[in-house]
Amino acid sequence: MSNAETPAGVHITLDGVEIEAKPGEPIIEAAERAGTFIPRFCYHPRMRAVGVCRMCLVEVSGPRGFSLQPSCYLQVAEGMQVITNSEKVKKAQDGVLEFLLVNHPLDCPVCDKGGECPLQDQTLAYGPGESRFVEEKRHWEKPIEISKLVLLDRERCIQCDRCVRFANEVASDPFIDFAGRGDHTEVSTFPDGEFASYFSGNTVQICPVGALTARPYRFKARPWDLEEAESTCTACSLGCRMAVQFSRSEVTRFVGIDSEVVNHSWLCDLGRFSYEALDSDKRLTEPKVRYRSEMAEVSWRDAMARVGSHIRSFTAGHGAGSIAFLGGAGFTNEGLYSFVKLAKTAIGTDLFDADLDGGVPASVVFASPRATLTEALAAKVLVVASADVREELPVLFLRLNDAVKKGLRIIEISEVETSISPLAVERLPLSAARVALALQSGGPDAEHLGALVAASAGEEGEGAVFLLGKSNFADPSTVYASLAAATAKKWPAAKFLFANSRANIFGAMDLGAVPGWLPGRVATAPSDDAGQIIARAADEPMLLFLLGVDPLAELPDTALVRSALDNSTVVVIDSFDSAAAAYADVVLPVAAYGESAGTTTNFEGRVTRLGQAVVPKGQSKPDFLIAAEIARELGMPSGPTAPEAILAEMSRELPLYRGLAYADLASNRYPDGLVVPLERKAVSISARPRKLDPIATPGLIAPYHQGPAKPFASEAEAGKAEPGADSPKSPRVQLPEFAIDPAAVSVAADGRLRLLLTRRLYRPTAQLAAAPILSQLTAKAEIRVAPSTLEAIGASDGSEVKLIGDHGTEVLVVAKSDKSLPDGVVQGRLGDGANLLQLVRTGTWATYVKVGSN
Amino acid sequence: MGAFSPEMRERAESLVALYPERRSALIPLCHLAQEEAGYLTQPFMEEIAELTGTTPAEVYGTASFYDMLHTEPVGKYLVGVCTNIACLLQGGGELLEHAEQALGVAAGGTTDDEMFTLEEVECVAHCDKAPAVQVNYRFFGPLTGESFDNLIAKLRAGEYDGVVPPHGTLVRVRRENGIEVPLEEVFAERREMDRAKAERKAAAEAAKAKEGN
Amino acid sequence: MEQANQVPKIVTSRIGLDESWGIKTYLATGGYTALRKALTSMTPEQVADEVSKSNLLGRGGAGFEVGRKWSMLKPAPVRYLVVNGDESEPATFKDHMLIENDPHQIVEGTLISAYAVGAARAFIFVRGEFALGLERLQAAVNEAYAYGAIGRNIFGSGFSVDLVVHPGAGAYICGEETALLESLEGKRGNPRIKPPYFPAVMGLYGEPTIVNNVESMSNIPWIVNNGGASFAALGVGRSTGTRIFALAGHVNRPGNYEVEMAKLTFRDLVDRPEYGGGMRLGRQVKAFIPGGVSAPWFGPDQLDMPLSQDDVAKAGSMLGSGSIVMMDDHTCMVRAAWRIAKFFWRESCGQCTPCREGSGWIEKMMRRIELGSGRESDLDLLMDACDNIAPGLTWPPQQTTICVLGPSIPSSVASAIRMFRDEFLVHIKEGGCPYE
Ligand SMILES: Cc1cc2nc3c(=O)[nH]c(=O)nc-3n(C[C@H](O)[C@H](O)[C@H](O)COP(=O)(O)O)c2cc1C
Ligand code: SF4
Ligand code: FES
Repeated sequence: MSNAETPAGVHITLDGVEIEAKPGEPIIEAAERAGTFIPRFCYHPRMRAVGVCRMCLVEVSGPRGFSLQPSCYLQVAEGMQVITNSEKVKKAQDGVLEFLLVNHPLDCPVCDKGGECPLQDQTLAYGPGESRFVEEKRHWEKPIEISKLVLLDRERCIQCDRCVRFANEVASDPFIDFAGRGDHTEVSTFPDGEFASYFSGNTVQICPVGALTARPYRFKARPWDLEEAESTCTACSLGCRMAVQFSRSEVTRFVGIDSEVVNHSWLCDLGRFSYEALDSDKRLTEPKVRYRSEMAEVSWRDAMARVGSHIRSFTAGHGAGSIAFLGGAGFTNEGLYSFVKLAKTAIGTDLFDADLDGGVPASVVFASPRATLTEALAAKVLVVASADVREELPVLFLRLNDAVKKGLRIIEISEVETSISPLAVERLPLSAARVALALQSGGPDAEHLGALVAASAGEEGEGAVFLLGKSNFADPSTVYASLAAATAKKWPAAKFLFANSRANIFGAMDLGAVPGWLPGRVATAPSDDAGQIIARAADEPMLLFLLGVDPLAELPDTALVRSALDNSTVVVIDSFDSAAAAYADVVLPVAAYGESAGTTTNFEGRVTRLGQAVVPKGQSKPDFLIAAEIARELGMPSGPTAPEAILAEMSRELPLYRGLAYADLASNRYPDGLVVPLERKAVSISARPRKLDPIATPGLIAPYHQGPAKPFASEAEAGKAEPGADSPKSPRVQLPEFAIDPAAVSVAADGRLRLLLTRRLYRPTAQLAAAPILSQLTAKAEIRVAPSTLEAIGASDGSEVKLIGDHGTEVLVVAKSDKSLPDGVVQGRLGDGANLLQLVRTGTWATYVKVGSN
Repeated sequence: MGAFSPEMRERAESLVALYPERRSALIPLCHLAQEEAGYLTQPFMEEIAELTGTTPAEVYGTASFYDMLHTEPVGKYLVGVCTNIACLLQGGGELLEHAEQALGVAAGGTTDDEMFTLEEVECVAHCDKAPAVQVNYRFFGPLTGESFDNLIAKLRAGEYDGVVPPHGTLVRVRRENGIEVPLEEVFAERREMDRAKAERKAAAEAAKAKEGN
Repeated sequence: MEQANQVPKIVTSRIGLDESWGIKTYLATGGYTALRKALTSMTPEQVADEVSKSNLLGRGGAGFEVGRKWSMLKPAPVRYLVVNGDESEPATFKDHMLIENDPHQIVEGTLISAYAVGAARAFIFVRGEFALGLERLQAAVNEAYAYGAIGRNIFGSGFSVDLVVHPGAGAYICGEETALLESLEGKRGNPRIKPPYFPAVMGLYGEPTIVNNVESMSNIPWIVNNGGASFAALGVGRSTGTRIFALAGHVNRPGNYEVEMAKLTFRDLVDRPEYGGGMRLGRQVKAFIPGGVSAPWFGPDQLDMPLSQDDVAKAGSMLGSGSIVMMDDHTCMVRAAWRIAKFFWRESCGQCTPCREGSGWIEKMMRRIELGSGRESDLDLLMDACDNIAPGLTWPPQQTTICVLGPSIPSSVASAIRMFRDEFLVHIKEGGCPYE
């Protein structure tokens, strides 16, 4: 908006021309903005400069005349003179390249990186013509596996320290380090260890040579055959920007795009390698209907006819209220809008719940002033009360880790230690229910938290941001609604973010795919949530549409879910085969990620575009088309059937989306998408190309689409209002009252323990099961208890124990001792094997279990 | 758990306590582990990681930077023949060749009986006695082929047992306990020193200004 | 400079005494009087003043004024003093001798310096290979504690400090002061990039830190006892006091000799009977290294140069660590330079590309020439590779690397090629070493 915000520039002379630079920035950045690209290897704009490869040497003036200095490391200073094009500089750079090639194998034709290799490219551009090196090169044993996902070819490594720095500084997973010395320096894990990090794939992405390669990608494609579509990751609701790369109609790789406001180019391994599942034989590719007891592949027409007749007969026989839609948080906004219209308008049922986790409800989300991620990271204090961020919204952990190094203060509220605990100035080891109760009725816990917040933020919470989410998956969502409501009441000036982590759950809320809401954040009569729908389905005849979810794997009280599915007519609309599909009467295959276009909404409310890279597999169709075809089958007007047109209808019909245009979303003006509702005020606008070092992400075909936003140069554009400037404000939602029952914090006197369920990143979902390499990473379910509790049970660390739920369910599971846990609780970590969800009692304030040694 | 014996663990913990930051004890702890096991085994590296608040990968990466830390077994005696410039000029290269023949292993190798590991080493700062040899970091020189053979024979016969401990034991003199100065108190004292210094400076300047008048 | 024996032995006075390393001998020869004097009758500034007046030049290699370095220490509540006893520069063996034979002198110097700079804790980093030295120094520290010279409220002065003896683990680069600090922090010994990691600004644990050499520290007690001026009265110009020269190579009496700075010439040191005693077997000097293998070589025509820091620098080399290596006319210069190149290749930390890869490449070429498979074009190639590490091959060198180990690599190789090109050509033409 205004240049007044940028601090006074520093003036340097670059190759004889005076340019303006930002105070504190390295020469390499200032030069690049002025159009002079200085070659480099070790420098990465999102990591600390180390200045070790020496490729970026330039001549810099100093007290003793000009000397060669690393431009990636040295910061600009007023009056500094820099020469990048002298003979001396050229010779130094040639020399470094020649040295780099001394021990680098020339196996480019068989190297995964060949064709997109900065070493190869810069050798062509800057290097000496011919190698003068005739000696024997250093040898290492060929590629070694440093984790299930990443392989290391040490002969190709140029010791740039990008991977080690990433592991250590960005991910805080220092499980790789340099070993050895001199030209025998190698990147290494502990001999018997591995690079077990949720973020390991980023090292592959930033390695400037072919030393680190990803097992799922190896030999899949040659870079020059690749095409790419810009997109957004939907593994969680953070919505990392990324490029889907494909070759000959097959998705071959995901590469992180450096979005200043979201992911800084990083991806987690679950998101990055989820494409593995796209090609698997667990994909649903044909419509199927049940004939007698067998599922048979049929045409879409026949499948639609069956769906239509089910809808008509249920409506006629039991009323529209016997039809329910579960799931959809993995769908596009356009698909959700179409399905909600189908359900709530065409069919006339209120029963739609996309949030199977029962996280913070839409009523609270809509009523709370939402922060953007940028605001949260710049907050005076950030209070985190949610499940472990690294397990739920992995890249958010990276952003928090970075922000804390830059001064962000975090206060954590969590009963268990999480990845955030070491980052926090303090962890309050309290349950969400306890804090909610304390905030409602006062007391020392509330005072303590109040003092902590007040130490950095205003009395009313000005400058504070709360990141709230479900931390115990055995709790009812009311606990979290109460906590959020109590927080908002105590700190009316604070802002919020919510950690519901399903991909497009916030889009689903905005579009009315949750109970009590219509599209556009319009309230309607309250109705049943997923748990209640399942309970009803166990008793009465119902028609259940499962939209990309498997309630058997995701909902508590498995026995109840099983009888509900048994009892109901089930239509599965999914991309992957799941346990629930065995109960289906109709299966409709949905186009998977990368196979259809559309938009998605992240946890800030940021709407971004999904890229279509390849055609839908087999007979599968995009979600919005399936909804349209069901509507047509019911004799309703199907409405628009292209994502652009559906979004246009949304922005016409719903004030929430007013001003949003599909074409804007991937444009130079809004490369990071737009947060809805659009703000009325004029804001600074960014534009492409947003020059970011192309070597930061070597595989990216369009590297200029990333990086920090560059203010618009043109006067005409500056100060122009956002597109939503004259749109009416979307309706303001009042925060409902929630009262928490003291039962939520009561301690069982009879030796039962309160169950605290947490999830890990790799949890057994249908899509993960379809990814051959990723699925190996799913951990086994286990429980953790305080050492004294373990002793009281009479079990030893690592032995199997028996958990008995209140409704008699018994589960055998391995128990571990954990010093950080209090007595009286048992932390169940969901995973493969034992199904801990079945222990959960729905409809109560807390779940208790008995633990016995086996 | 527990690669260190209880007694060594105690010593390990007192080493950690010597430094303002735990990680500083990493190398002394590696020496301690070598003292106990002859070389750095994986369980030791894991325990050192725990003691220093690092990961085993970092302990391994750090240890492997240093020539004296061995992550593979070595002989009871690590025999290093210096061939750097001062020794080279006095026949260090020839002495190394002789040592290879005499021990029957190339530099870097360990004899079959695991008594000797031979190394070609860089200058050991014993240049006035060139060509010099170090055995478990105890120095000998100047050596001829013959006196080298003699040395090996005596080591084999145990005649140097008091002088040359088995590989791993570096320093046999312990720091005596209970004499550390708590840093906090020292900091307080330093602040006091700084304050007094500032006062003296101010007084001196005042005096100077007065003189000037 | 006629009566050499009128010059006091400042740092080697106890060498050769019975149990020179024990506190009994130390106290009997005036030990710890300087510490007592400093702590009880001088302010820290007064101590630092005397050191400044002495113009003591650092003995670790760079030859920077100790007093000036102290004055650059950034004020902060936490400051550290680290003493560099990593001595690994080939053919340098003076610190080794001091650590083994007069550890108390180092301890006393360190304690006085800690007082002068207000260090919260002092560390003596000793090269790991000095097992005996480590034992003697640790024993000395224990004795000094018992004597009351270390610890709390030393000599009733109110000054407290702890002193930790820290063993290295074998890596030449850890002698470089910032690599040493990394190593002391328990990390890989990679030199730190500057700015801002000048130790006096940002050193150990990020706090302002003074790093001084063991021999530098050993001078401090004498300076306090006798005054900076008496120290500065010795020597010539900026080269004040005495200094230990470690004389090695083809001389009859290799050894450490403490002599007055700048008064003797290289020839004096080599030839005089009380020092080197002449070249071995009466041979001629072919070349010599005036200050450790990082220094460019000199020829016999420079033997008459005084042992002065500035004179040697003017002539294009350095006194460096005080090591002088004499090579007689039967020495193969290719082999000598190759061995030094091999040393740098083995000791490069591996951070910077030119040093990591260049050292290995140069070593391979040198080996090939020595072993008889050299080509004439290799000589230009070698010079060019050297030039890519130290552009211009000037002295003091320019560098393409973080620390000065890089530009040390070319010193010997380029010297040998420049001074003895013919000898390289003989190797190449005859397909092998003529001295074998
Ligand atoms: C590669 C390299 C190796 C060094 N080795 C040593 C050493 O072994 N001992 C030492 O005292 N200084 C060594 N130095 C010099 C130190 O960096 C530092 O200048 C010195 O310890 C400062 O002490 P002084 O000022 O008392 O000389 C080395 C420097 C370099 C670049
Ligand atoms: S493996 Fe790649 S990223 Fe890591 S240091 Fe080597 S070249 Fe750099
Ligand atoms: S040293 Fe600057 S990019 Fe590597």
